[in-house]
Amino acid sequence: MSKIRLIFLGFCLCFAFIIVKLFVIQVLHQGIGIYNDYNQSQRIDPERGKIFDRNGQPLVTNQATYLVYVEPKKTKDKHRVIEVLHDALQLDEASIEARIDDTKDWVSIRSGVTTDQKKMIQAKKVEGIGFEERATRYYPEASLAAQLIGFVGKDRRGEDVGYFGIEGFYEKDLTGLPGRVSMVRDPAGHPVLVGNYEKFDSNNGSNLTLTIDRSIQEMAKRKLVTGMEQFQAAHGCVLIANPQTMEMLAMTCLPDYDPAKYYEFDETFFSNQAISSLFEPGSIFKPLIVAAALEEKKIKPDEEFKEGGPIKVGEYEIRTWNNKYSDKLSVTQVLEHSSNVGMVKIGQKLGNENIYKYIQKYGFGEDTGIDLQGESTGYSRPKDQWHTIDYATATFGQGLVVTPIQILRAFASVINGGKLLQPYVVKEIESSGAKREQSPHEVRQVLSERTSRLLREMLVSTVEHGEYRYAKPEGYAIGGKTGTAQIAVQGSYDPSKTIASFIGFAPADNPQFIALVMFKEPKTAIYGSETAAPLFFEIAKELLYYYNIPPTQ
Amino acid sequence: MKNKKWTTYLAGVMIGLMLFNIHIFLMSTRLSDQIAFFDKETKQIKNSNVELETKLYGASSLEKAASAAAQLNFTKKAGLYQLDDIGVAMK
Repeated sequence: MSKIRLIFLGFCLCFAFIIVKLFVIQVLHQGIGIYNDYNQSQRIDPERGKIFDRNGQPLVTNQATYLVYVEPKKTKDKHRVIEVLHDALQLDEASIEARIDDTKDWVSIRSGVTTDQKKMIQAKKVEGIGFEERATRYYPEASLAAQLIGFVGKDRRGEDVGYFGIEGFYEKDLTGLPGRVSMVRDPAGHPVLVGNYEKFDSNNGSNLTLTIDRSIQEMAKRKLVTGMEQFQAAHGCVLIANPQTMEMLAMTCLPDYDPAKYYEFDETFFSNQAISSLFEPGSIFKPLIVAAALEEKKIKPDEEFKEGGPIKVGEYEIRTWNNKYSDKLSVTQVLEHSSNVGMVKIGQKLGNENIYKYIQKYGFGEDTGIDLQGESTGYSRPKDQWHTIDYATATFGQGLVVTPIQILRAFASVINGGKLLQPYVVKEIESSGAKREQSPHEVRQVLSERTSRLLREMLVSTVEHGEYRYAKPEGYAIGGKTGTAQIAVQGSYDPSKTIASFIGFAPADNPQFIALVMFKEPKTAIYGSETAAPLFFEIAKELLYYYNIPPTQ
Repeated sequence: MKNKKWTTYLAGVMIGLMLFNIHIFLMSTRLSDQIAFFDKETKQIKNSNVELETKLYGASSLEKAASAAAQLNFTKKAGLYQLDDIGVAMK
């Protein structure tokens, strides 16, 4: 055979090999990852937006954590794998062994593994252990604002999704948009500079700056923890806001949970009591009715009312909280002594129509519009379901239910010049360098400036000359009102179970903060004046120093 | 004679093109390696940035300060102190 024929035969064999190989790839193994093996498309996950307090201090950021997995078919020494994982992750050896099923290619061991733990495992150089990177939320302040912020969990598709609070309400802003890159890669996974190359960058989630002040939040929570221990209450809340804008400065309720380990808690811990729990406000409601009566000019600021004794409304007899009665009470003294009888008389002068009208005007029975997921609208009965006794008890805050944020907003309207404002917790949204500021939103004018000024003076007098002497900061004019509402159990009130509360503000002439302190079912003392009020004054003292507000008296 | 000259010339061009092709291929391989290398480096830097950021935020948190203060026994003794009677100081 000539040399030319030999070369020709060689070429023919080569071509035959190529044709057979192409037949195998394109016909026999058609569609089995042939294209995907080379032209790889990868999702670029966006970074979830961070959450900062009003001074730029981080409350929620992101961290890299890892899912540790084992590939049983690649492990050479199973016992060594178990030993290394046990040492690094503090997992029970038996449970690791039970997880490693030799018939499977891949088994997950634990998610949320830190970088340090990963390095510890990698240092042992054991075959068959792998890591998958995942971004998770990091809370530098732990559970400082857990119920306010919410947490990031998974949806049915296994995607991250925010639940409750800010994470839930601003889910779309925080999530961002994923990107995608597709390119040809060689069998080793290296990019090849031929063929298709497409890249769509991801859009990271927006960063949020809150109206919450980390220092005030920390102080409020610290005080609340002490109060809860001291009064052995079932629940407790502290809400602090700027009454001129209704920017929330702090919002904390107990018991709460650790957002980094939300899965270890029952779901009853997740809802924010400050915006979702309903309660009868009791005497903290009285200033709202007094303000309404003054606004409608149904009473005069210096008018006096005969208290005398219990008052009959239909078949019911209404008494004062201590069953003690004065002969005559001025409007201010009705508030100072927290007289239910006096309030019923003011309510009778105001009239049922106006009582109902003002309950609506103060925003009860509608949501406040606060930018948090999980707000309850409260409940306001239809007008045709109101009876004479309901109008009477409503004047001293019984027989109607409100949420803490609703009563705080309504009370703020009484002292801020009469403006009912929408409370909010996010001050600024920053996305790709562009900033969007949230500004105060006035819902409606409820009262006049004059009525508001009168009420501020009355509420300062209530603190100064009330039934109880408070350890209030010297030299400051502080206004406020206590409340002790009995809790209805199966249609009747249980006198031993109360919701003790206090709403106060300072400085009285130009309030810089308003705070609501409340305890549900305190055991060592049941009145607002003995529980919530002292805690309010401790908080007020710290806030006056924090804001550097000088004494005026 | 003329044909042989053309054949030599064509073979030279072909060899030149082949060498150029090989050079391009090697260059692209090297660039691919570099892309893979920088991909990995970028990811590592990003991860260490996140790690450092997390450490920084953790170290500057009130939670950390409170725990350090408790360890140093600061908290109970360093409460707020209010000067209720500042008569002497005012003189």
